[in-house]
Amino acid sequence: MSLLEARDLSIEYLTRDGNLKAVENVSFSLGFHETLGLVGESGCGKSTIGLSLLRILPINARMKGKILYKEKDIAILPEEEIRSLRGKEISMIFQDPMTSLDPIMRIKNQFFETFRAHFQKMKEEEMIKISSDVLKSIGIDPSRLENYPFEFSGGMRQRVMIALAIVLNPSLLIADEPTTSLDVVVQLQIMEVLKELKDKRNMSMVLITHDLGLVAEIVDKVGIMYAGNLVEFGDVNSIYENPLHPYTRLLLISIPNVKLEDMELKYIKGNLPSLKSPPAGCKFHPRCPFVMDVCTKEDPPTFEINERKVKCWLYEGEHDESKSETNIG
Amino acid sequence: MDGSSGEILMISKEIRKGLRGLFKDSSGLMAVIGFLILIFYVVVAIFAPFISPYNPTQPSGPSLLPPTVSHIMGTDNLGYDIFSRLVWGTRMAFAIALIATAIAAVVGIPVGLLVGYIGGKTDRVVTMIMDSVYAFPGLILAIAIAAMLGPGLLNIAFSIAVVYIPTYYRVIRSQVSTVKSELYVDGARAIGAKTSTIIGSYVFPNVLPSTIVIFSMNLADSIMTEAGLSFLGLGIAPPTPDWGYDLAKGQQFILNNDWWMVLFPGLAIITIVLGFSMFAEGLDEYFNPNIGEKR
Amino acid sequence: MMNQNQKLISVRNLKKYFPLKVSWLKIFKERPYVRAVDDLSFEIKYGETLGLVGESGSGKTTVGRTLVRLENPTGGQILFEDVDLAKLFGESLRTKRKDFQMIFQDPMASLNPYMRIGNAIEHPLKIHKMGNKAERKIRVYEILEKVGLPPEEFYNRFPRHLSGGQRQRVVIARAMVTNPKFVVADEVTAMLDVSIRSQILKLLIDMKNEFGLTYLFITHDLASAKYICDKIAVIYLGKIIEIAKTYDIFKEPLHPYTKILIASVPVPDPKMKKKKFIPSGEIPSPINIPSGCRFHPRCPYAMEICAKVEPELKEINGRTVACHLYD
Ligand SMILES: Nc1ncnc2c1ncn2[C@@H]1O[C@H](COP(=O)(O)OP(=O)(O)OP(=O)(O)O)[C@@H](O)[C@H]1O
Ligand SMILES: Nc1ncnc2c1ncn2[C@@H]1O[C@H](COP(=O)(O)OP(=O)(O)OP(=O)(O)O)[C@@H](O)[C@H]1O
Ligand code: SF4
Ligand code: SF4
Ligand SMILES: [Mg+2]
Ligand SMILES: [Mg+2]
Repeated sequence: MSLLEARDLSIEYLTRDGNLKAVENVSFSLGFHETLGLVGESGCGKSTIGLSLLRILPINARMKGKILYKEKDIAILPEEEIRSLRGKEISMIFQDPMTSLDPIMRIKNQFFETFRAHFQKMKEEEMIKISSDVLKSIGIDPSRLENYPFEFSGGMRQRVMIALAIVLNPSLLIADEPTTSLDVVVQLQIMEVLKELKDKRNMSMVLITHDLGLVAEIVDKVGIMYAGNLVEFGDVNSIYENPLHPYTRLLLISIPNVKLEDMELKYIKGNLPSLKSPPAGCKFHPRCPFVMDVCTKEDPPTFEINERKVKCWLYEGEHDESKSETNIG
Repeated sequence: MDGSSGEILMISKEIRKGLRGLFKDSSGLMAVIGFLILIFYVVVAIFAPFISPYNPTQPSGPSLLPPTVSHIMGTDNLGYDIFSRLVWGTRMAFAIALIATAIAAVVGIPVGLLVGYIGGKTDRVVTMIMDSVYAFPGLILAIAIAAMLGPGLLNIAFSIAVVYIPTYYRVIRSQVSTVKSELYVDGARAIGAKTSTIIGSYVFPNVLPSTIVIFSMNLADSIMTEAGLSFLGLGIAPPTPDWGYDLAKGQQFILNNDWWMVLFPGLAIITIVLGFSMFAEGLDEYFNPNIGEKR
Repeated sequence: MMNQNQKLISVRNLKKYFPLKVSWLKIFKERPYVRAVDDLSFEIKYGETLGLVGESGSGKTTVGRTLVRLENPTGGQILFEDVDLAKLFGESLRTKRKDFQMIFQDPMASLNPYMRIGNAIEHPLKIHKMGNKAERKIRVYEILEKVGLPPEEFYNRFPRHLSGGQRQRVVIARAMVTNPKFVVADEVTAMLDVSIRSQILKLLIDMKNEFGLTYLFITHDLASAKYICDKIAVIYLGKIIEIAKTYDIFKEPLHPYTKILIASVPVPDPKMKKKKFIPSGEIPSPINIPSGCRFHPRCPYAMEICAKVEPELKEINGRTVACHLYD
């Protein structure tokens, strides 16, 4: 049994000028104590998936498919039950650390609120004790509980956000771009905090990011998203060692690195497609160096190869028995 | 009496708030309805001579006649046909509102642009002056100026204009001070553009939409103010047809149960103000595309 | 090029302080300043690209803005060829502006939303009275072509119909249209999508080669600086702490902070689970700059002397660094 499983998840936003398919037929699964990296560029639907896992999508969103959390379908769970899951079983760190803390409330009270949402009768000493422990574990002095958010720097605020998210010991933590607005060095510090959490607390995590380099060290599984599609899914080592989907390959080689022997700048030509009027067939086809006739006409299905998934016509006919060593690079 | 007319301005603000609630998801519809109402009145104003059945400044029947087939809105105490007076009054309403708002815009916008862009001491001084004018209750200020200047279309328009100059100034100035710090303005400076070019090509186009919105809002307000002035006897000299004056006169007969003298001028004022307000609110939403898009 | 080895820009002791707002009660105390750029010197030769690298708040943008005189320097010289830009004002500064340009970080904000692409790019030519109408249009078409935007398709569009990468191309075109000698590029790829970043870097490199441009390339990402810069200057709290050839910096970073910056570049390799060299804390405020070496509160090698004496930027064995470790 897996902890979390998305089956044929599709999410549309209704807007004034037509519908926008933010997520299309996405399926993935995440085991206990596993970390999943959901990677893709802006607007590809990462946050939308994150929100759907807690069922807190905006009102103009329409969702289809199943999200199984410990075998329960989150999409149809009664409101009562889903509320008791939020924060306690599944919790989320949002994209913008500046706006997700209440500016006029002491950190202490923000912790209390979190506790009280689930345990009305908890004693103050106990709440303080647990909060202090959690803060300490991520490198913030417990005396800072008395402070207001504006007294913290961006990086510390993000730590507080993480502390708030894990204080009830959830089984699943969803972190939406936890370091995007932070500095290079601070970003590294926060990733270190998350890595430690993962090792010490045995928590499962969904890490949403646009930076393929950043998550390499910390995740077990990777899902690559492009324009609302999950184009590749699999175990981290195999994806970085032998990326199957052309987009994944190009993305990996176009990340600037610090190696001196590698001075040539590689890139993906073209632009991201519009979600309101996406290209026909494979959405990556206008930018794909391997494009074939069929790609421009029909959307490729997801092929499964050795427990990996790839949504690309190049892999038609390849099945579990065949090794995935096709050289397309 | 002072109380009731002072509240008129308040009411127009409330109207806008109410409208916004009512048309939450369909600002387009709101603008269209507003536009249709305005078109209706424009047509009435243009074709007044053909629409009005009687001369509005001469008695056309017995006085205080309730609505009948020949006088569909009745007659007033002097036997004037109320319908004809309202039809001709449309012209007056538009004329004063347009002239007043135009004067206010012509003064307020350039001053706001320049002062907002220059900033510093000039800004502090001018803003203080504008703020004190703004803080003054609008109608009272208009009354004071109107009383000073005496009756006459231009004088009335001018007294109303003074009240609305600060609205333009404040909105434009505050917008300019945000636009001023936008990167594209820095970009214009970096390519070597002159101050006048920057204000003209980079700042003004970006604050223009809000001036259009204020323009139509102020039209609504100035029709109210004009009505208020006429109501107090400071407006256009009778017997020139004027809605505010008619409403004021009607009010004196309300105790006689001559309701038609109040109802019809009142309705005219309310509908035209509603028209302008809906149009303005709709435009505002239209020019603020961020409302209603992402969360 | 004939000037190959001569300086185009030489910045000497540049300072930019921003006064802080203080309540009038404290008027008798010394007025606090944000020391965003604090006594900084460097040179850029013709055709060279200097990278200016540092954390957020280290003063990179302020250096760039002061160089192109969007800010007035608090002190120091900015020698551009033979002219001290720091002493230019008004009309003489305005006309000089066609020789140096700046490209900003945020492509969404750096174009006037009400100006068509073609007009936006033409505007610098108009301002500096370069060419007649027809000639200007030809030039705009030419430059649009160069930055990879088909002119027929883009000339009449408004910025809002363009993607981030396309807008950044327009901004680059506008900066290059007057044939400037020097361009400041401030984090030009930071707000772009990952797959677009390298495209824009490539374009900048191509433009440089084609027009023999000189760049100041500002970034917090050392990895992207590697591809475009000839030299890299590392800035910390308004001061340069190391400056070297790009190759040397990556081969052997000297200053502890430079080492950290290089280590902070994520490596897309799940097997690199090594313990990294991560400093504690975040960049301090430029209002209260630490005594001695400004990096000492975060430096893993800090010694006693570091808190007391500020290390000078000096040459040691052909390398330039400001750190007591190399005394
Ligand atoms: N409430 C909404 N109404 C309409 N469209 C929306 C809404 N929220 C998001 N979208 C659109 O849905 C698409 C996916 O959005 P989402 O926020 O999931 O992207 P993302 O992958 O998280 O991107 P980013 O990296 O920019 O955060 C985008 O095109 C976005 O503009
Ligand atoms: N106009 C200003 N007034 C006051 N302080 C300023 C101003 N501009 C910049 N600063 C301050 O100067 C310091 C340096 O800012 P600067 O924008 O140059 O940093 P940066 O290195 O470009 O950072 P980032 O990577 O975040 O863009 C910061 O502490 C900033 O708050
Ligand atoms: S389906 Fe075709 S176009 Fe799409 S990624 Fe595969 S090869 Fe490229
Ligand atoms: S001078 Fe001292 S504190 Fe500063 S970087 Fe060198 S060793 Fe570290
Ligand atoms: Mg997102
Ligand atoms: Mg900057």
